[in-house]
Amino acid sequence: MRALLLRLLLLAGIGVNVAFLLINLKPDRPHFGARRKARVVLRAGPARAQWVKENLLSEFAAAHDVDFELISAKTFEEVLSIVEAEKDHPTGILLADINDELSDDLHRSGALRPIADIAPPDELGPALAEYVPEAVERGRIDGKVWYLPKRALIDIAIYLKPAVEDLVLHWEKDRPAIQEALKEANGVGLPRGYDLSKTPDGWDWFDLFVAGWYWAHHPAPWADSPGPAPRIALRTGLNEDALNDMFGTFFSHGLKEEDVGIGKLDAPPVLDTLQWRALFRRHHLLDPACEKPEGIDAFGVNDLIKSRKVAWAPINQSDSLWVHGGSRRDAEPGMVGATDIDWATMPEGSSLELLESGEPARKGPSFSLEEVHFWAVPIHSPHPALAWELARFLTQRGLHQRETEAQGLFPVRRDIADEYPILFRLDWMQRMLDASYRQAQEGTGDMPDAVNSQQLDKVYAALREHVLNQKPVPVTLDGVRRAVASFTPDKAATGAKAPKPEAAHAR
Amino acid sequence: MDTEETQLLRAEVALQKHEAETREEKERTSDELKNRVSVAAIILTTALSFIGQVKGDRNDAAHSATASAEAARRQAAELWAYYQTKVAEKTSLEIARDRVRLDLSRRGLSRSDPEARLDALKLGTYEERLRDFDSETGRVYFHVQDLEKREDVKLRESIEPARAEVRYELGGKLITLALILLSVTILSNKRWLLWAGISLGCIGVLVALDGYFLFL
Repeated sequence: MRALLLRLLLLAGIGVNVAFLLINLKPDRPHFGARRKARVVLRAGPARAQWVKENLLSEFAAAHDVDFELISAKTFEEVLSIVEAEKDHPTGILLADINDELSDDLHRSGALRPIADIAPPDELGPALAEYVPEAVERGRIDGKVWYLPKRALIDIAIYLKPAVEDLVLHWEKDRPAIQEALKEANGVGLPRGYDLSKTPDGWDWFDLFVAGWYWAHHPAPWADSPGPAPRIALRTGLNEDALNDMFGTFFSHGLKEEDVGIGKLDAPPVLDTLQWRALFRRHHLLDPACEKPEGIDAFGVNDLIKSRKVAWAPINQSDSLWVHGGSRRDAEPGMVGATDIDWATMPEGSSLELLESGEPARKGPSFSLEEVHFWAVPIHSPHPALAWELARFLTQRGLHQRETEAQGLFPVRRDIADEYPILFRLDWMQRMLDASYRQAQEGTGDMPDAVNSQQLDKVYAALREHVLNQKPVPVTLDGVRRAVASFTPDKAATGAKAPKPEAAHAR
Repeated sequence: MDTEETQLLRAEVALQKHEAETREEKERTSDELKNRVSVAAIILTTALSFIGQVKGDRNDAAHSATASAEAARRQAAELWAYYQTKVAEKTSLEIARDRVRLDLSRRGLSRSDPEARLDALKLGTYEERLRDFDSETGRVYFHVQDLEKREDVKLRESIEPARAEVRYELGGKLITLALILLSVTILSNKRWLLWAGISLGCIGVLVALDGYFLFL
């Protein structure tokens, strides 16, 4: 018996040496196992999907013997339906990309498993510490981590510097006309001692009105067609971008979450916002595309600014890169004369109504709705441990920085957020991120849950259209209040909200 | 009848025979142990030699990847220094352009006025050079992006060989310890030490094999 054992050991020893000899010939780790197939759902257009596959997934695929199939969805609603369908008919989806607005719906549908359940307990804490705390918090539900932060987006303002320069130098000649137009709305005109802020960073709605008025009435040598034309664009209609613009303005005028509801449509911040919109409509200060009944989404507004038709518009980081161009070698060409672009925070809230002192009756901070995107793991994810590894791989420092730089996103990694002035050395990109961080400091938040769950988005969008379609458009506060009072929420548009498409630059 | 002396002689012979047998048995056992130790030592020494070579290879691979990453980082830093110089140059041109524009504005002239021909000429030159700067710095930026990507990828590439190297190193050390035990086995003639040496050697081999497969 012992002899047999010894012979076996001898044979094993010889075998081991032969094995080591062979290992010496090719010392790289072998890939003996069968390649696994995994599907990843991403809200991305073909260009971005291709970039992600080539730059982010390929390395992981080679190292982990995985064949990835990328399912690109145009909207997060599409992602939601794919992941919900996966619950009943699993197709091998490993990981999915979802935004914070729909994350609660997805969680309620039972189509997910929490990140906290698949991450190794000793890894989860240190991993979460790498992300911005606010983003991590948004990924928690009842204290449990369900989602891993992926990226964020904040709306800021993009503008053309020559247009603002021209405005600051020459707007005074329009003061009487502007005064007259405002007097019709608030009985007074401009606030006492008004002077236009020299940079759009300090603008409020009076400044935006002055800018809109001046640009609409004077030739614009910096524009594609230099004749006088409306040079401001806002996202309008029943799409997510338009709702972000509208609710962002409500909040900048002081709306609180508890003031959102069908019985509170005449809340002062809502009236203030609608009064400004009505005044812009009365004088046609927005690009004509914004006044069309179907409205205009981020795609349209991005095109307007890129083609230098408008001088000021709201935009997010991703679209900013598309408009500017030059963020990566294979990026689409951006605006001609992109050095004219600069970014600022959104306008501060300021009621048209003035106090006796000549000050606006209600003021509020600059505010923008922030959107956080997450990685989510479907309930039937075939390899949950691999899903965790992939999500962590994709948000590691180097890749996150590259993705931020190439695709345009608001970093959710704490180290990148802290070091962005060093990491993003291109001047224009840094200015864009500077404005984004200033916006984050001045005021950001997410859409109240009630807006989606009670379909208040449609109600408020219908209310806005109801007011703006009055003949004539009411511009006084009383006029707007009467128009709001005559609005019946039951008659709110019942059409489905147009979902937010993949960022324009990634088409 | 044998005399007492004969009996004693016989007993002595028997004892000597027994002692010889015992000695022979001991020598046989000792030889057998030495043979086994030798075979085990040969196998482990050969394995150790192969492990040493593959460890060296992994060490080179890890260092080469790290060196590539470092080279890419250095090259990117140099390019950025060049970029910074260009930006400083561009800023001085922007100042010059703005001065001409401010001067024209102060004099109430536009660049198309005949009086401002020289200013217009200068402005045109400045603007053209500024455009060139933009395209040139754009190219530098893309090159830096490529280098930064290379640095990032190479740094990750160095992780696997480094992990393997650690395992080969540990395996090699365990095998060396096993060889020491085998040497002591010969000196002490303790069979259990042979088994201890073989066991430790097996563990070393397994650890080294994990350097290849990287299961753990």
